[in-house]
Amino acid sequence: MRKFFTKILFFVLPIILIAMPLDYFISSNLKKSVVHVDGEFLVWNDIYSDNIDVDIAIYGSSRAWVHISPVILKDSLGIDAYNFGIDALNFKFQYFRHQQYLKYNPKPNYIIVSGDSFSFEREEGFYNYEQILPYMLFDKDYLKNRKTFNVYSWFDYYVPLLRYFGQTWDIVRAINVAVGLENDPPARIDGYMGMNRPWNDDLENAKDEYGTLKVKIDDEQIALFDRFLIECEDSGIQVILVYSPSYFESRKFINNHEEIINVWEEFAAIHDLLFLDYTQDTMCYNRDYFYNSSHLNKTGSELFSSKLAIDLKPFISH
Amino acid sequence: MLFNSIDFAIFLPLVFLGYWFVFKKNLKLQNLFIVVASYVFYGWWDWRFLSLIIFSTIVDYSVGLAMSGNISEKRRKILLLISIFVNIGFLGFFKYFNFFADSFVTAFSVFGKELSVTSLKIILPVGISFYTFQTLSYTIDVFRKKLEPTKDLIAFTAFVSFFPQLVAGPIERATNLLPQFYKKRSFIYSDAVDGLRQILWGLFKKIVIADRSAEYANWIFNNSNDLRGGTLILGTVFFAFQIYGDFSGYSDIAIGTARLFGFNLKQNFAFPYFSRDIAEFWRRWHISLTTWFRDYIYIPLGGSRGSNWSKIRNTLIIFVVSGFWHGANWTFIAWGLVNAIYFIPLLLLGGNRKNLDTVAKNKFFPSIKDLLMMGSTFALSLFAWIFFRADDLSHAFRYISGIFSDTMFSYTSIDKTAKVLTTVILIVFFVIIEWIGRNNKYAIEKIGSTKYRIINWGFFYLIIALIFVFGGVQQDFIYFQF
Repeated sequence: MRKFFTKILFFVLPIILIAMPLDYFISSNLKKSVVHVDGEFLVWNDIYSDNIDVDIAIYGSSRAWVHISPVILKDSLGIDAYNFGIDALNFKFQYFRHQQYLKYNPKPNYIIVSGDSFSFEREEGFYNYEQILPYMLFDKDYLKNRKTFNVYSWFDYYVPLLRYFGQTWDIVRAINVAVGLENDPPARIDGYMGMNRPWNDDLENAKDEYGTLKVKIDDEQIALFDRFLIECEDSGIQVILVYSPSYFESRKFINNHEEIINVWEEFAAIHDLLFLDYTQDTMCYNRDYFYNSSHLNKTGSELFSSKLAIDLKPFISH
Repeated sequence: MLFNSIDFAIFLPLVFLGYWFVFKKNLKLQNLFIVVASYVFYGWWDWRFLSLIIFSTIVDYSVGLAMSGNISEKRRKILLLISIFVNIGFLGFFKYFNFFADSFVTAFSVFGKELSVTSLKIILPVGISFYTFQTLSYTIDVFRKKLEPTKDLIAFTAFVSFFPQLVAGPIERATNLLPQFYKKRSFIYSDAVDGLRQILWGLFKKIVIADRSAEYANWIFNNSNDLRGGTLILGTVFFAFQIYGDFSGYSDIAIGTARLFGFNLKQNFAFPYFSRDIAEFWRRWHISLTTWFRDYIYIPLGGSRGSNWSKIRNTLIIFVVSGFWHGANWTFIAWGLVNAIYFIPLLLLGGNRKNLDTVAKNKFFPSIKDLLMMGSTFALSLFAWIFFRADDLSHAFRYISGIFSDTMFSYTSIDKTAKVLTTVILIVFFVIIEWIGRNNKYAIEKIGSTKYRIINWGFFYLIIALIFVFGGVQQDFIYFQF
């Protein structure tokens, strides 16, 4: 038995010894990737390197990310902005990013929250779950929020390397970065990326699959958003709610679109916030501005960002 | 509890330490510890269904005891029937109730009668098909006087619930496993190392080969209507490796784990995809189930003796029952029938026991003839797997007509080429290692036990690295649903 345990120990020892350096190698290179997981690492890196000192922070999901250009806002309004849009994730994830942002950076004067149909929907999965891989080990904030990041187990936060198990393409990406094979331009600039894409079949496919869709609004998300608004008020951050254009046919597809808009209107009324609703804007009727029913393409997003800047001007003080 | 989970990675060393250090000196306590560990292992999934195992254990233990002594043949038969009724009754209710109810309704609707039979929301208890067959083998063997009924309830309970093979086999015979619980086990270094080696290979099969293949097999089968024939063929190949990696991987982990505790379980797979005909395939695939059916159904029916018609009848029965054992769906029955159709000509022409030895024994490369025979047998098994994997019969037929269409030699992209190619390369690596190790009980039995430690350890580190880097998205073991 002693021989057995001695051999096991000798066999396992190199694995234990190599785990931490290997974890460091993968994590430090992976987070340098400027394109992996839709460029989310760029935003996280900026947050954790105390790099963001702006007047306007833009929150939301993919519709924030691809709709609102901080550069255009800056040019029009003369103040700095940063886009924190996090792809395909609802408000609980956006809130976590908000907390991390405020923890490591000076607070902004304004937060623009970009709404969409799914902001308050209950979400079981974690799209682009790889985006927290390089940051989560031994991190108390991530551990505290592990119910949000439900694809990871408790052990992933404490055992080096374990969370990279089976993450073939993240490991490959880290190696590519390390040997200088990643030569792509950054997926985001100040968190934003205009999408140069033609109209695709997403809406038709979704109609074929679902007919219409009713979005179930989750009380937990609503309560969290309410708490967020109160916290912002308490800390002197002015929140502006924006519902950017979506292609008019998507309003037919989401059959409780009005109910969703009402939720945003109610929040604006209760907390006395500015709500800019672009769901009836002329842009919504021109397919040339969109690449799918809920996302503007680069031309559309630049036009929208300019419109937004003009509409914001009366409410923004320098 | 899944073998490929963190829970099991903690559970196994704890049980190992308790077994060899705390309870080593007392056989009864050691067996009792196995029972407790096994119940924890099973209860981790759903503790409520432990009652079924316990009930089944008590019934078969009591039936066995009641069969001992001088009792009439008639009473022995009644006792056997009680055991069969209870075990098959559980199986029938939990696994087949809804199938029979639905089929009944469909059959009547053909004749214009609309029946209303309520489908029950029945959860299938994990492993029920395995442990009921295991306990049944005990009562049947006691009935046949091949085995003395046991008076040791703890040993019998441990035999029924032994955690390494409780939920997906190998289905052990009481004649092999039960006596091992009567004897004191001693720790043998070489057996334990061998066990660990087999566990490692099982994990590779499951996590790398099966789980990676599953991602593509599932996607292709779920979207088969929109895909070209060439892609559909690829889908069946992925499924063939998924099911083999999944099930034989589970068996390897089970056998290896049992070895760590001083037990020897039966070999369950013997490189079936290197078979030269379908009869050989069935001697090498899920051996513990195939031999169970052979010994308890096929031979009592007359086996391959008698007229051609009785041979055909017996073969059809055995394959249909085997298909039905896998699940309450017509697809499994069709899968059994297809295999029977493959098998019957061999049986009638006396070719079913032609290829008994390992292919290309003592040679590295197979002959062209062997290669062609292996290829054609693999192709036949691929065709049969379509029925096994399809959602229903119409899906299976659509899938087949999709293959044999004018798009048979064209391909629809299913993912980034690099990703698909990675899985294909891993499968090729796997097949090469299996080929090299085909004379052994499992592929890396000898590869990892050369006299050069650096080669052995280097190889194990390589396998661990491959599991770590290329592990697929965790999937349930397919055979859990059976």
